[in-house]
Amino acid sequence: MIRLNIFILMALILLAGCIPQIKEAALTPAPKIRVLLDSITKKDSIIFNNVYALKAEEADYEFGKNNRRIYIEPLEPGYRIYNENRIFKFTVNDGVIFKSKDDEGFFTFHGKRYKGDILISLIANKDLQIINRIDLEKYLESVVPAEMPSHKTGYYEALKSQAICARTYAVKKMDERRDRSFDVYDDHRDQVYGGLKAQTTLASNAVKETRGDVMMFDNKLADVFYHSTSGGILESAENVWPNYNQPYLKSRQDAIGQSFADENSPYFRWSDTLSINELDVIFNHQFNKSYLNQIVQDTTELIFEVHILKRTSSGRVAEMQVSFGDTTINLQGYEIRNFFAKPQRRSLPSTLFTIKSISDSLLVINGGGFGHGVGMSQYGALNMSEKGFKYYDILVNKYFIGTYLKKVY
Amino acid sequence: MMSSKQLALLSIPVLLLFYCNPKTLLTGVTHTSDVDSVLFYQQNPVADPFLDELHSNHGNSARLTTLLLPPPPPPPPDYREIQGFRIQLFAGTDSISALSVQNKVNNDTDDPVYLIHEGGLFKIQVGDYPYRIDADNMKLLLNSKGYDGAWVAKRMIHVPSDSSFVDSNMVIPPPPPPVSEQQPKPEAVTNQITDSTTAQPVQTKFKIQIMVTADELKAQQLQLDLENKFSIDTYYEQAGNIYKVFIGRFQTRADAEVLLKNVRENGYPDAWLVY
Repeated sequence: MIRLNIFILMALILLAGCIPQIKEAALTPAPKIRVLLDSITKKDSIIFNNVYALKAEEADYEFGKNNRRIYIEPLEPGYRIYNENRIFKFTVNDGVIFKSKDDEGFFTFHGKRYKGDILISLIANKDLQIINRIDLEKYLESVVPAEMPSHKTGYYEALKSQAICARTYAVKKMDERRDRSFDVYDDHRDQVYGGLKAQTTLASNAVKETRGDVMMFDNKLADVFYHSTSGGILESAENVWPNYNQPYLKSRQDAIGQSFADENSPYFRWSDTLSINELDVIFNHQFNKSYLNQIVQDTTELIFEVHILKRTSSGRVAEMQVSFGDTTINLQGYEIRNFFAKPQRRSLPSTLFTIKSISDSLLVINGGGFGHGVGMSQYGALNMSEKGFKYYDILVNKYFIGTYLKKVY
Repeated sequence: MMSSKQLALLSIPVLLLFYCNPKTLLTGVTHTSDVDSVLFYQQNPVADPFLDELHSNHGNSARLTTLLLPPPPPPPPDYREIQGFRIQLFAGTDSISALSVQNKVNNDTDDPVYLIHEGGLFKIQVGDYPYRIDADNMKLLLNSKGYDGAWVAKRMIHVPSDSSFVDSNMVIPPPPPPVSEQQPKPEAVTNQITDSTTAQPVQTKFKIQIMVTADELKAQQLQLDLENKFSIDTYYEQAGNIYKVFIGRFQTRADAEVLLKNVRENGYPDAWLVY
């Protein structure tokens, strides 16, 4: 009987050890990230939805109680901030911080709502920067749903992968840019930051469940890249950015078993047709030369030729030559996608394409994928998530092979 | 031997341990996947025609061509110039006054009104009248509307380039007499035509007049010279005390003008077209 009691006691101890979730551990605070919302050169305004305080030496000036809108206006030199009741003038070197009085406070700028503090500073006596300083995890809750669809529960693991990628990227930028006035842009130059409106429950849960997790390689933060659709083949990072040559960012097929990971993407394969008239418009727009509209004295043959001179190991176009009339240009990298920009789309979806002419006046571009092709394919991750992959498998076993995850706070 | 009660009690912690998987807690191996391993590891590359084509020589070049054509020649004017008549209402060095007259006369007539700058003068002229009689009628009309200084000017006028249009829309008067600024009255013109002694084919509309003379012998001599030189029907007509020498009979103005040019270039620069 004694032995039985001891056994039951041991089992109960083990049982208690198995459910640590009952006691919620105190969370280490996440670092704060500085997101550049805009650089303004003329009068603009911010609306406070709660009480915000402008900290000064003599007092805290509160805003948002009665007059919720403040105006910010660059001067020469310096700038001023004012509303109907108060006006503050600042010199070139003055930085201003508006702090929310409580955690639920938010403000509206250019139609988007944001939590966190507002930093205002003048750079080079020209651009007045409006910066949102916010808890990194809160920032990620507005980035993940802006970067990846989050309307299906099947995407949950992919969203966690995206959260880790976004967090790793952000932490790395915070370190690299710590001497600058801000850490990240709020758009595609870094990561799209959609503000409070972009947030979804699923994406927020994905961020919370991976809180503090980042991707590491060789005891350092990994270089994290992601894109919409690989088109079946990933690109080596050094082919896009020569300074990045990581073993986990190499070209290989992006497949799950015997099918491509992102074959469900609308950009997995695409096709575009350009007439010689459209190419003339492109040329005219970029080089201010229209060959079709030139006046000739005699019947003249006009030739448009395009040659792919070099492809990367993944098959993406690395160098391309275009000749039209008496103009010949060589294009590389992103210039290639930009060259074929049309009014209805900014640029070609990717450089993974072939070209052919189907008549004397029609050029057909058959392509695959959307984006640079380096790192994680977001559509591939979504597909894997729906197939049952866990987020760590998506990251360390599929897209960043050789990296590992680490909780940094 | 343990009783069933003891077995049941023992099974609870065992099941809990299994559920909690303490091995993972102890070893730190935290992640295992429940997806089929075949999804992780590719035995063979996935075949795909598009990706294969990227590494072939196909799809690397394209050439488009088109022809640039010189612009078409400017369209012919929808009118051509012939000898005819206009009514001149104003001539002066003052363009503002000319414009004022033009605006006024535009309200008084539907016929074209021209502002011409020639010989240092701004002139306002009305109409394009191939026939003198029409010009005279218009002059009378304008006189009645207050343009007392109107007079008939002989000059190149505009007619539709399609001569058949001109012909089909004109009331063809009897052939008029030689035109001159001193014979303005239509009645006189009609009388003179009636006096014409030489019969003409009914279909003749245009002919070229070479000379007017009071000397019949001189007219006869010129007629012979012309016949020898051009081998075309030549004749002369008496009109009162004078004799008019003609060459050719034409249905259309275009045909007449071809000969007119030829005659002028071959010794008779003062030849003119009459109707």
